[in-house]
Amino acid sequence: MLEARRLAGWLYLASLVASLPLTLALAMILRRSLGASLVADNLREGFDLGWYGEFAFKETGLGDSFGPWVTGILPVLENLEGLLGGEPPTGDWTLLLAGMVFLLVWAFFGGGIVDRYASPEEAHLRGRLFAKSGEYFFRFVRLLVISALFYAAVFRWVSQPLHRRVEDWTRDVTSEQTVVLLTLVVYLVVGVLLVLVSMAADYGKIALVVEQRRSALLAFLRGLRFVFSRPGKTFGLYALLLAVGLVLVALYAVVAPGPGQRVWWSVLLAFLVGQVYVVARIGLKLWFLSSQTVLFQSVEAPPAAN
Amino acid sequence: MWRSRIPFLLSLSLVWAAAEMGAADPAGLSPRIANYTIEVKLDPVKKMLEGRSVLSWRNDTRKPAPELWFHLYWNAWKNNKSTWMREDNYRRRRSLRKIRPEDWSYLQVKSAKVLKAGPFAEADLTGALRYAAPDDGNADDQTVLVVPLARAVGPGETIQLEMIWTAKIPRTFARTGFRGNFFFFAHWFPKVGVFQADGTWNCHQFHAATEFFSDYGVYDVQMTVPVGWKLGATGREIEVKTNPDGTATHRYQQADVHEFAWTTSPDYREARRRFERPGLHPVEMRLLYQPEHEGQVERHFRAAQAALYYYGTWYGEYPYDQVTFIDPAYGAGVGGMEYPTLFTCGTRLFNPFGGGSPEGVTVHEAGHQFWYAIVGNNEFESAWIDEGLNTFSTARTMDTEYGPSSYVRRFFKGFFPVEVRAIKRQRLAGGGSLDDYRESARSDVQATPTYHYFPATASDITYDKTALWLLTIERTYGWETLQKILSTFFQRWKFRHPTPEDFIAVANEVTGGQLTPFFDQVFWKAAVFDYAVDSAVSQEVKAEGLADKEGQVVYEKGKSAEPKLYETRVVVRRLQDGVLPVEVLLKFENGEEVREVWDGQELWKLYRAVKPSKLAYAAVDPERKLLLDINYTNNSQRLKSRARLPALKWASKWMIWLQDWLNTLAFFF
Repeated sequence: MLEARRLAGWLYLASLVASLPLTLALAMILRRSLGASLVADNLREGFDLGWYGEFAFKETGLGDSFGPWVTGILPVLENLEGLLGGEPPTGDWTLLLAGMVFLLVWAFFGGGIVDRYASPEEAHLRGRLFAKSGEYFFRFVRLLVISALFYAAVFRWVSQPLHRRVEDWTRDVTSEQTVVLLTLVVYLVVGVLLVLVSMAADYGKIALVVEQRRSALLAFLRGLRFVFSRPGKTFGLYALLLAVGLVLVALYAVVAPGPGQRVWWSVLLAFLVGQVYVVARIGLKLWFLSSQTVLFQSVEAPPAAN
Repeated sequence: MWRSRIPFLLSLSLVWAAAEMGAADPAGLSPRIANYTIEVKLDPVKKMLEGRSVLSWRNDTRKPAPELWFHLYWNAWKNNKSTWMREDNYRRRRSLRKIRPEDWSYLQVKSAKVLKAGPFAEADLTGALRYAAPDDGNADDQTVLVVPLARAVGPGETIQLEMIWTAKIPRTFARTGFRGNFFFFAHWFPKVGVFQADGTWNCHQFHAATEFFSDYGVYDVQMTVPVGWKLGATGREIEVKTNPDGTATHRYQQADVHEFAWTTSPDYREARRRFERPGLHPVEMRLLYQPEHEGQVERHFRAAQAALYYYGTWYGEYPYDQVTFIDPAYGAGVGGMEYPTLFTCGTRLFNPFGGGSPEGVTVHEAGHQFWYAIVGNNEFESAWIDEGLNTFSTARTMDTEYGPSSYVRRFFKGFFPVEVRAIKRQRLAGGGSLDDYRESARSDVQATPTYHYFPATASDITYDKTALWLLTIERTYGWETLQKILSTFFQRWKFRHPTPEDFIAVANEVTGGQLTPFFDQVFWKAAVFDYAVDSAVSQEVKAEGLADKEGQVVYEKGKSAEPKLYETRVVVRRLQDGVLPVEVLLKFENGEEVREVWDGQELWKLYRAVKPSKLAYAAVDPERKLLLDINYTNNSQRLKSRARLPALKWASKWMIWLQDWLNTLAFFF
């Protein structure tokens, strides 16, 4: 895990590269909207819903993705809701482009990361990380596409029908409690399936590297088989690390800055708190991968490469 | 069938009671023109109502009435060919695919008979009934029923009309219907229209974007429901009888109201409080609520009491002895609606205090007891009178009682709210009416009859535009003046049917005619307002050129005055067609101010000042009196923008959202 610092650094840098240009673009949009108006003072002191109504009325594209929900813990909940609902964020095509670029970056580094965890005895030179990343890149991209298809299937054939079914079943239910519970059950089912696909993809990545596989589809299926053949260990590990993730989110909910920063240093401090959270999230994913790699290697003898 | 069930003497007594109710009662609060005696039985399994009503109707005009016109509101949801359903398509609120065969409704009059009373002989009119479509000629719309009479009702005469009808209860399309074993009934019986002084009927078809209009009267209603089911209704319960067939009949009475609504469910819980304030009529308050909202009971009472207190103090007291309010079942679709002495609220399982819910809807619907129930405007034609005045009054009450509400975002299909207390809504302006109005500012002239508004944007004009111009009047003329307008209007028009002209007349009466140009802009036109500071510069005054000095002509360049002086030039613009006087403020760094009123007629105006200080900022309408200005950000300008910090602050927060989203993506791939 300590080795992950440099890895986390590269991935954090990638998140900065993916997000900074759009952030600066949004800053220009906001600045243009505020102009030299006194309303800018309100945005400095806090937030101005009156100004936001005008902004939302006029802006399209990137501006559509901005709103008072970007403060505090709300962005995390917003993204979690989108994840469980299979919905991309509203806004510009540039957001989707940034997402794709970021995924490709992860796909690029994925091979090098798994290789590092799988081969701790090897010398960890930067050259090896990039070499291995390049070696496995296209296989990881194919695995990414396969995962995407499985995720789409979960949303299209499980999540949406289940939510519709809950709507039908509760047509005559007069208690919101009942509907909430049923909806949570659906979210849980969808969540478990998403976790299953995620684990299959993760173990598929590991199989690609550790077992030197060439077929991304077979690697994915290998990952799925691995999960089903050791459900206690795989789900148990995932649950444990997920619990750590929930603690992280809970901590962030407590410290996440609200709308009230008024001077440069407090704005910077709030930004840094957010960046610590982002780095922690990256670290958590690396922790997942490293733990899963150890689990995979500890129970599997390497088969012949296909 | 009904005749065989009700003994002859009871029939006579019902007719007598109806006749008595129809007589003008000097002690009554209202003219009591349309009086009903109704018996109805609910079949909760078949979702049917079977009813018998006796209408005692008095012709309060000088013209004879050869027909009686009735609303049969529930026929609006008989099929997709009704006017209501066609118009609802414009609002795209529902998908026809989700409607099942058992969801549709109807209200069918099986028998209509004039009862022998006074100059009227008994007459069976069932065969003569016909539907009418006075608004759009839609032959498929059956929401208006015409009953031609054998003998016209002369001026001052009273007729007794018995109707026997059945109704299929809808799964709620709007305001009334069932969900599971929860039932709410509004506009559920044949309802007579309003006969006007010119001898015509004001009886509109049911439209998607309008509400209702009827005359005041006395109601005596007996409702039979399964025994053990709690029931709430307009008025006061005077008796309950248990029947041998496992049902119970609840009898309610209320005088001086123009509608009767009721609700029943075995799941209701009940709470009662008493409203008592010095100088105001005491009121028994009864709340029927859902068990899962036990923790919100006191919040409901506080909000309802706030409405009774503030509206009572500002406009006039609530005159009835009781009020019932309903916390409807989840998903029933009947929340947020008003009926005389009964209204529905609406809350969620999780609802943080401070977010404005359920307090806002409770205050609003309680407030409709004043604007709608007591002042009975025609909601088909001028819905803004009750909705707009009430939206304004609700916002004022909420601010006074609770302070500004917080921004709340709901997640996971809206079940879980998160309140951000540091972000507050502004009364009507921020996160409220102005946002809705801005999108629809040109969609209709407010003076257009409401049922002709474009359905998708009707509420933005009806509720929001009205509330905004009322707040504009308040900020321009002061709360005392506006309160006087509203209280005069309330007192003068209570238990009557005011028109828009009546409101405008009162407003001008109180302000000495000053509001005529205002209403010309906001009511008789769809004018849009947007004033802006176009440019603001301050430059040091420096002499350049030839000057006389000690008898010689010398050349000066860049010579500053002593002490330094600055020339400030500010250009303000009117960007839209709405014209109202606005204040222009030039504020200087040394604290000096220049304030002038600009009539706003021309498209732009230049303000110039020479001062020993630079300009700090310029502002049009600095106190934000004109709430209809659709863009307030451009109303002010500093010499130098201070937007960099706030822009970067909020963009950096957005960046964390984006990074979180990117990492969520990456986590799963």
